[in-house]
Amino acid sequence: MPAPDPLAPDALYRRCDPASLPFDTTEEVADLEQIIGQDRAIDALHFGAGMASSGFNLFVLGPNGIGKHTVVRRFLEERAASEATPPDWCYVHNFEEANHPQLLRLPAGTGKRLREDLDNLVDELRAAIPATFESDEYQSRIHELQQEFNQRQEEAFQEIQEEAEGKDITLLQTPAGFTFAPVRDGEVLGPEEFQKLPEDERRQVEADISHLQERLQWVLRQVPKWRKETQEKVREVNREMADFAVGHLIDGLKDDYPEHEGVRRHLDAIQQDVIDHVDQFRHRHQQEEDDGEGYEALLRRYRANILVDNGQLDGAPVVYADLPTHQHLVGRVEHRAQQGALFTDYRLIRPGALHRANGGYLILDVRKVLMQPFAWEGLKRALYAGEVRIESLDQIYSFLATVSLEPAPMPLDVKVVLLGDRFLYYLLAEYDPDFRELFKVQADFEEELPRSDDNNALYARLIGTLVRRDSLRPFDRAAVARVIERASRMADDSERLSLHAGDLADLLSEADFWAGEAGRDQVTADDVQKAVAKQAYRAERVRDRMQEAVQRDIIMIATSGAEVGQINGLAVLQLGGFAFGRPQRITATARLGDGEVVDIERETEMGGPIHSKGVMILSNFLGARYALNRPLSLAASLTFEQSYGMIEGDSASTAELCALLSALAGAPLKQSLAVTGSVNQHGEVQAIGGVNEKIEGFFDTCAGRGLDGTQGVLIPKANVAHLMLREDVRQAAEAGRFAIYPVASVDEAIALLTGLEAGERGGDGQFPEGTINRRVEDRLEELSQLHKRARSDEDDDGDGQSG
Amino acid sequence: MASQADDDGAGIRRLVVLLDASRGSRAALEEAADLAARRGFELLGLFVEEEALLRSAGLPFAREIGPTSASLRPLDPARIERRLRAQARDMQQLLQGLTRRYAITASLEVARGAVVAQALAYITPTDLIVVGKTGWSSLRPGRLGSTPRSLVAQASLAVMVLGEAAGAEAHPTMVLFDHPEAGPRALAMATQIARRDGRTLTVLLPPADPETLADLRRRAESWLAGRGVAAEMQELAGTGPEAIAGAVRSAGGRALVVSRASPALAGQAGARLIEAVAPPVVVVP
Repeated sequence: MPAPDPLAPDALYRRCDPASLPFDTTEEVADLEQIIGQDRAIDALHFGAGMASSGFNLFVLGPNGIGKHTVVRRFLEERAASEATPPDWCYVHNFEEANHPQLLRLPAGTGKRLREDLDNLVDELRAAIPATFESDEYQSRIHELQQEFNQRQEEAFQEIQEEAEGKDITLLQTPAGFTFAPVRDGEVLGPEEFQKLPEDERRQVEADISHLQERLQWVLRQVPKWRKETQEKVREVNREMADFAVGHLIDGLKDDYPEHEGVRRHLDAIQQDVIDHVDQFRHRHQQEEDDGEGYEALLRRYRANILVDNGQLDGAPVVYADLPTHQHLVGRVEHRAQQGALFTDYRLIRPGALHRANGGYLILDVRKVLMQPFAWEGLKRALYAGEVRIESLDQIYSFLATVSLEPAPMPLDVKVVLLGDRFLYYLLAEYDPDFRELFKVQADFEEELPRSDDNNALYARLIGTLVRRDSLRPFDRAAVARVIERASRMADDSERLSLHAGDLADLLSEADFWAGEAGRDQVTADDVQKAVAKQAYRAERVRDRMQEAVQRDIIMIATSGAEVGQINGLAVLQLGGFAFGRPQRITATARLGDGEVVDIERETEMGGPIHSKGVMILSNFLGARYALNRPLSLAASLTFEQSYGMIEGDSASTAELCALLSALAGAPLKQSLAVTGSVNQHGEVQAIGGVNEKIEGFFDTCAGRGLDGTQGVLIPKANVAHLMLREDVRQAAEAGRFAIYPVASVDEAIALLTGLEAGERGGDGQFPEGTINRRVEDRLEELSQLHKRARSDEDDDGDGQSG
Repeated sequence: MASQADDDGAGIRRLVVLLDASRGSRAALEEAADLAARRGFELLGLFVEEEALLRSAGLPFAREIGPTSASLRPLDPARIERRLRAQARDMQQLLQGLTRRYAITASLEVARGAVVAQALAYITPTDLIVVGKTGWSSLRPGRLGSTPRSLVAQASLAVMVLGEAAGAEAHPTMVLFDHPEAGPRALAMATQIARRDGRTLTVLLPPADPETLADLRRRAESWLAGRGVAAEMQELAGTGPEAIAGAVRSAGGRALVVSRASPALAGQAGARLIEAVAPPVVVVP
């Protein structure tokens, strides 16, 4: 099998030809009307937003920065504009149960009118009620009643007094009441004078006084009854007058709301309340201004609290809650501190995002909802119940047992759109049984777009749209071509373009900045290139330190010569948003043993499960290829040298296998080459991620020492389509100073690394003499024999001992 | 100058307040203290222990009837004596408090006998008697008590019958000018009250034939001329107590000054007038 040739330079990078773009600058391209590359997600949005049934809420999946929010918002706003504007909602006092404020539903824009009307009513009442009660008519009616009462009492006492006087008896005031005393010649009789009276007369006086006492007692007992009767009559007059004072005001208002039964009922309740509290209104001068039961406190109850005012809205609302706490979602009841105590009423009810979005759409970031205590449960509860109930967490969880408001719940008709990462969707789907019930529609965002001429043109329009949106300098066609190439690199695929709008917008803004620095009024390809380079430069301090450590041989990486059992693997490190590759020395040893390949990383718990899997695969490959009919009498070990952190992934398994084969065959490996790729049990090399970063990482190491034309990287053949390499790498490749080899199998890789043929089994089932495979098989055979001999020696020793 | 003597309200120097321990009498004392402070009068509280009451308490069948509870309680002189003494002490304390508060000269006299007789015995010509409107007639709200009734009829000097406490607003002092001879005396008292309080004066004229009315008006105006009090004339709709009380009520009058010689005070109508007028009524001799 011949070793593969290096890739041709044009395979290392897929250019976007500026000439293929039909414009000079982005000023000429039309704005992008549709959303590109998201047909599936848009279709799902269309379906989800249109499904009226409950539970068909949406979950929009995709990574951060892909533009989910913009896309969803734009889609929903367009849709909402043609939908009916939902009603206004007002909370008003509940005169029957003050703790349960009533909710009024009014056509959009009417809420404000009602509030103004009720405010005016309060002002009018404030004037009309006192005016009525200060009127002459009222005063004289009350005076009459008072007179009537006085007269009744007066007459009763007058009769007693007259009777007493007729019997020569007078009524005297004592310090705590009254007493009757006999009078003779205008003088009250003392005991001596009384005793001087004839006995008949004395007896008569006693009888008269006793009779008068009884009569006075009777009258005194009647007084409270008469007073009560009078008070009742006064109350009746008060009611009558109050009814007169407010009746016409209320009737006038009711005529303004002929269609709204709720409003009319509330107005009736206000009228009844005024009548019921007429005494408080009458005595307003004696009331403290802010006394809890005072006059103003009574009037305050007649106003309206607009919870949701859709008067300015044209269409359905689209609400985004950027801090979706429980309170911000379901609303809250505020309290006002008054002399150290907390008070609340219907006017302190505040809406949540669910109220404001009712009748339309509510957009939420699922991660934020999940991070806010109880917000997720509150949202689900509202969606399940089909109503929003304003309850504080204190109420729900009884942290606080004081009496608070329980406002009437608002019927809910809202489409909730959650935005979030895919893993959150899958986690919720797995662990929360409610989730699938409530969020039945998933809109999954694509992260990439196939690269084609048509799509390039669309992408150019996307760039043009973003440029205009962010008021950037126009990009010339070469700059756009460079951005498209960069988008391909961001997608890590020469055949695709990244749809990561956030990163794209950042790149455009940065390129615009550098154009400005250069004093240009158009953005050129150089500016884009500078932006890319500067982005990398700002992020690559750690990479530079690592490369420096390699150059100084602190991290040992050989880039020339040949070694047995030692190979350059390639690793990718991701630091924040920046990924870079670096070579990693991998070594292998092989000796007599029980068929075990020790993965030192795993033994030290520094290797992840995927890495361990890769090592197990390669050890089985060994056994399957070379030791089908005999035990694999091998003790091998593999390790990443100078690695002090976690190793994960199987992209080094080809390199590890090559190192092991080298150790077994005793064939030195060229240190000028680095290898990446995973391997399967048949020895086929499979695709890996981060191929560009890995190549560039080894290139930087070699270039730092000077390229001598022997250096290069072996990559899986399947990764060739992903190549979008840096310009300096391409130039070196073109000049023949650096090579990229696509390999399909471990045989191709070992041939390139050793310069020896790998070898295929011939008709005799043997690998040809001198090939790597033959040398490996021979060595394994040798080990097997050694193993067998060692075992029989042991057995002999054992027999001897037992014998 | 004769007019100056008139202005001095017959030279009043002292207020004599008739006291029992009732709530009304305490209010009367406070009102009088306020008046005394503003006008620089002395104040004498006169607490009369009713002899008739003490006598009657000794009767074997004497009983006290509670005005609120309507209950019957035994009555004996010792208990009455105790209570009267306690009430006198209370009054003394109240008076001391008022003396400090208003910085006035005040004293309390405790006498035993018939209230009216004792009051008349204590007064001197430079006194103004102040008495609460209701006596035992607290059973009969708004009715003029026998004590004020007798004093108004018998006292040789001005008597002020206190009703409701006057409001703080600047309401006019009302005076009834219905008698050519007695009218100026009432006018003098009213002018004094009005001037000291910085209030206006409303002169009430009785309904009469145009000639008489014009005469009364002229007399009043000429008396008032140059005395520096803003006065207005008001013609009454009738001569009855209701008409006068109505005029006082609708003007929000602070006090009504009436001459004893006025026909309005004659007979039962006089008592009814004092009953009907809510603010204090000052009867001048």
